[in-house]
Amino acid sequence: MRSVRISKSDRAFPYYSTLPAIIVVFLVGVVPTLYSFIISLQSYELVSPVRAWVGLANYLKLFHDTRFFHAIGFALIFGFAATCCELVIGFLIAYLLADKEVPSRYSSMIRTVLMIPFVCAPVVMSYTYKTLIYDRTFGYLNYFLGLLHLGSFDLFKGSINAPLGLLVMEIILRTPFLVIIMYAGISSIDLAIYDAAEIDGITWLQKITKIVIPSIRAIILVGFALRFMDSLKMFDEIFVLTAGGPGYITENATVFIVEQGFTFFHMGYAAAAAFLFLVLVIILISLLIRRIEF
Amino acid sequence: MKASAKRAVAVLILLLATVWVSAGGKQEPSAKAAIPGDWGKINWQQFAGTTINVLNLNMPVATVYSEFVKEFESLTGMKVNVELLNENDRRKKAFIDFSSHMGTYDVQSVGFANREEWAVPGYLEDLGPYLKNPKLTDADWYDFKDYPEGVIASGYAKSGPLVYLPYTAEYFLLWYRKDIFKQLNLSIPKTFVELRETALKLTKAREAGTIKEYAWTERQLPGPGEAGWSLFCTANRFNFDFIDFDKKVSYVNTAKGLEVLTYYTSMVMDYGPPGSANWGWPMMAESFKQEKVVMITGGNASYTYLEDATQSKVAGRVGYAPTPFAPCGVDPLWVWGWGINKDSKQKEAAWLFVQWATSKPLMNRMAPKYGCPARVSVYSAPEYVKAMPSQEFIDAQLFMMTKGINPYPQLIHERYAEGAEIVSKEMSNILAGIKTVAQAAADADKQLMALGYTPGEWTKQCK
Repeated sequence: MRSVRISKSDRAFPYYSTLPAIIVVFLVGVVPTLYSFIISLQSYELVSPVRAWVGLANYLKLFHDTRFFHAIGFALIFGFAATCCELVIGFLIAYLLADKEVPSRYSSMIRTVLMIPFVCAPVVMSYTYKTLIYDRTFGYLNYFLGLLHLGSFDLFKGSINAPLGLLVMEIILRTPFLVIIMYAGISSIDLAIYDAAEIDGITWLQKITKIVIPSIRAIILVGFALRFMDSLKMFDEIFVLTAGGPGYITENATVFIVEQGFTFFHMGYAAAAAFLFLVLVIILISLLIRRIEF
Repeated sequence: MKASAKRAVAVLILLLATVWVSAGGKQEPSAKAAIPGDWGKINWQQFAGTTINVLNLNMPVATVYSEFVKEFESLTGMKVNVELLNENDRRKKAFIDFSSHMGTYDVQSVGFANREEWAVPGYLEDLGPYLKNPKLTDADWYDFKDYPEGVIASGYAKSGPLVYLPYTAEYFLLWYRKDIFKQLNLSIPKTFVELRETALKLTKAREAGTIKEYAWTERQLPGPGEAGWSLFCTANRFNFDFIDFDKKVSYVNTAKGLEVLTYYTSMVMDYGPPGSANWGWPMMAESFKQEKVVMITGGNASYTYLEDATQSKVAGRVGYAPTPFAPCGVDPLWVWGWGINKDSKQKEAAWLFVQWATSKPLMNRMAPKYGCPARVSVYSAPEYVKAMPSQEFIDAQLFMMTKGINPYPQLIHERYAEGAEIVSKEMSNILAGIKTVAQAAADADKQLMALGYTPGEWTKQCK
């Protein structure tokens, strides 16, 4: 039997063709990250032309900053809560849309409508929620609550309303992404499996827990990882809707970093916070990715 | 060459020539349009062909400037690229340009609060030598003395150099609905006590169904540019400063600090629209324009928002008065000016722009369109008087410029942002009902101590 010889140029082709992309990723990803790390080792204030090397002083200061720990804590808790809610709601919607009883044109139309808030710019949607939905003077939510005699919702009252308002907005805006990817997964399950299970007398709950979820487990984990990473670094929604308030209640790590760097101009301190946060996110996502088996 | 190919080449050349000519290839300059005004005795064309980049804040007066930039280009033969950004982005972009020493922007719009944060690191050029250079400035024509003392003082950095020339003089005024005041027979409040009494009367009228508007609102969205600014200005009207930024002393947790915090929060909670605790300036102004509130404090430069009938339901029904004061209280002056980037590669050309943009002939033509010029002679110019919404508006401004402003407010400081952030964040906890005034003040003090501030006792009295 003749063996197939691959020429040198053919072997090198994959490397040549991916090299431009690798260079771009390196320049816009790796280089700024390294530069941020260098800045984090300096006492770099934008209001002062002097930059001094201070080693790990910025990092040590962060470990004594309760505001930073609160921001990290809020980012993790909010990110986890939002992602879990989006997964559950997204799964239910995807499961219903994938049901063979639902005509495909209706399913397609609903999926398209669901995607509308997802494809709009986050800052636009945040302003819409702030002024037209949540605001008690201009917004629709309180108007309809009033019509139904259900009281009112004040975003900046107490310490629960602002995080709750953010959570609801985030779920409405971001669930469609999970709906789409889980719909794709559920739709690809072989119908013969359902038929065989029905012959064995499976209930609807067993169908979901024994067939559907195990079949799309990898998709669920990938969806969780992507959404969790996204919600950890959420900025536009918080900045527009609450500016991190009331007080610091809704301030997450990203808002904290932007405030330190671009409101107070403590660039070195902000870079250290950003780097620490990056390390934390990499650890969390690595732990998650390990559990994904394709 | 085949005939068809020759034809194709000829058509192509013809097309290219057409495109080139219509895109304005190398054309002879068209005859200069006559530009109104006397422009002094310097050679405005001495830097013809130069291009300068200008960074400005996106605000009403910037729109007015954009109408006149072509005249400057015609006068000087220079090209001006103007970039307009919102406040947050403008400040960040300016800082990045300054700190990187790229000199991308030759001329920057400098806000009063930017002065020290840009002057201290040496980012701004000293304009004094340019004013004295007869090649670049006709001193008699420019008339530097036309600036009121308090206003031009703002252009000098604490270290001495003149780092910008002002083109606006801004401060807060009390905006009120004169139709409602007339309907309820109310007088304009001059003190905080009178303001609260007026707000109470308006609230009772709303509860009785006589009017639908709420009495009062203020900026409440936490942050140095929103509630922080309003809160610190209100403190100045109480003849008080929350923080001495130079000496790094905090007066937040003092009797006077608690008085100001209580006043500010109780006024918005008792008399303001419910759910307004995350309102910044845009929502506040919109609420006034949409007939939701009767009184707010608004900048004199923003009157154009209110008087445009296509955008404002209250056009023609707005009254303007000096803000209420406690004894010896003043309102911090706010100024926008033009400064030159120390790293600019064409500073003299940039100076021509700054000089033109702050000159009397231009201000006389621009001021009727934006209302708050920095030159005092403009306030009596017939075109200006005719263009303003009312004599009451002009009188309120003149009162503030001569008696009501603090030209050296403490809060114009490079440390202002961090201090105002802390105090305004704690104030938002009061509005949310999470903390009492005493708790919020104590917590704000703790955070300031962590930044190296010391607690002080407020002893300044009004004599």
